Amino acid sequence: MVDVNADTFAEARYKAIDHILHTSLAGRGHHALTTSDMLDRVFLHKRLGIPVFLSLMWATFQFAFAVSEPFMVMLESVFGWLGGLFGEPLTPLISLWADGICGGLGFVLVFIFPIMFLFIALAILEDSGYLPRAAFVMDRLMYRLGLHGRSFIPMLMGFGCNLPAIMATRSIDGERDRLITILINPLMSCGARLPVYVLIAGALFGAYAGSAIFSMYVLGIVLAIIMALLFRKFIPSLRGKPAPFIMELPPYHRPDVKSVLLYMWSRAVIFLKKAGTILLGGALVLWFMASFPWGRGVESSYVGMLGHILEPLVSPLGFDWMAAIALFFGFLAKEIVVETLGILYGVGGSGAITGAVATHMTPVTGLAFMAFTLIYLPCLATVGIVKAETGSWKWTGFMVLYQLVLAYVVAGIIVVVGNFIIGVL
Amino acid sequence: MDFKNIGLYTALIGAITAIVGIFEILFVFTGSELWIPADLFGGLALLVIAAVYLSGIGELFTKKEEGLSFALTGTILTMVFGILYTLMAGADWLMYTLGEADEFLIISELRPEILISIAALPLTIYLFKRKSSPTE
Repeated sequence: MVDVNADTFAEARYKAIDHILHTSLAGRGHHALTTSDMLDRVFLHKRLGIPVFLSLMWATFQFAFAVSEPFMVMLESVFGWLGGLFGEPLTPLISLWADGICGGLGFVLVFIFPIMFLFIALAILEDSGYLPRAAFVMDRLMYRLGLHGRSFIPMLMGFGCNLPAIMATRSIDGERDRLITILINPLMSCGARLPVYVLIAGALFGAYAGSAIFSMYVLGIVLAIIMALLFRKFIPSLRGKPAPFIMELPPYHRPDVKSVLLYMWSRAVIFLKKAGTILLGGALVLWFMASFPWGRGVESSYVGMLGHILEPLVSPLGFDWMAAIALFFGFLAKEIVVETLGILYGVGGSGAITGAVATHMTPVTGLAFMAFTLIYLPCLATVGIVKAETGSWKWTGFMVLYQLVLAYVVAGIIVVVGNFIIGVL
Repeated sequence: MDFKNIGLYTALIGAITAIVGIFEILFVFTGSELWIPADLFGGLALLVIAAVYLSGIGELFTKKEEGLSFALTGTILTMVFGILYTLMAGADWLMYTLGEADEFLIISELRPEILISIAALPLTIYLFKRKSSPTE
């Protein structure tokens, strides 16, 4: 049997194409640079490629956060007005409307704007032909680290949603490479985590909110690369050299407004459907747990009792019982983290949620909370798809376990280093 | 415009971008009341754009067409950031009109990135209009 290296095969293929072009295209002695050639010289540059990619990603998150802010404020005012329609929430029914529906579900719905703006930017990058270049540029780094370059495409897809991203790993040939990609994919920050970042960063980081959000996405990529490297090195069944990565790059073109808006709208519809089902259900359950026994205050409610049981687990990281509850229910869907905080602060009597966040968290614990939300567990649906794709409870359990440990370690490092820096300053 | 002139233009825009980027980073640590904002990531992004511009000037001065790649991509990146900060200024104005911000000052909204993108506009237009010419 002849073992044909994929690199050699691709090289021979392009040589043949080049030969055919030279013999069939007469009168084109000098190959003039096309716009695509010119752009690729920089976007695929060995030293500039990755910094340019990071700069564009930073601009993407600045755009998603800063430009969407006034629209969020407007929708928040609408829900604030709707919540106050029936006066003070002194009866269970009015409280359900004001704190559960408007304060919980309504508060999450506000985050539709950063999600829409993020996907406008990502759609422009994808439609222009740049995003495949980003995967190509990252491949160089990843292959050097012993990882499979094709993994980066599902990783980029993970910025939208981990579910289709994990399903997209089917395009990876080697079983080991595919398994590693599945295991690290939940570390890529999906759109559902964005509301958490926007809330915490907006409340605690002021003008640097966009940069704080960007840092979470970079943290996800860095951790994914490190974990993949560790898995390949230390787990015997995942050891081996990654398969070579060959991809054809599409030509650049001007993004089509219609397709960009359609892509953005499709993501918004997914979010709205989620809001009408799981987030509405979550809001009702959480409101009930936060309001009953009626009249005893949120601290003594059912959710308060549960929160105080969970609190010791996260208190070393500086998180209070409300944060513990938010993370606990966030396992169902990451948006519920924000919804929970909205309901708890609302039932607890805090008018402005962002102000309440600022009194409950410091910038250091806020950053640690964002990192913990990024890492600790994927949502329930993602766990389900990992089980389906790996066909193994062992690997699914391993993923859940390593993410919990990693979240604790990373959040702990942020708290220790952050407090040390603040102490020095 | 010949390659040498494009090279000079690119070098000038690249140098200004680099200087502003360095100041944006420096001011994070020193603090400043100057018009250039203190912005670590913004400054780093400017340094990346400056590196793109400056990487091509050698080829442009030796009249190699390949040098245009860096000028073209540099101007695209400059435009991306110029548009981004213009949109952010618009969002700040909306926040001000909604009563969520205490003040809205054009001078503080007019970030250097916006001015650099205006300065780079003629080069951008020229490069986009220019047909690839092997003989130039």
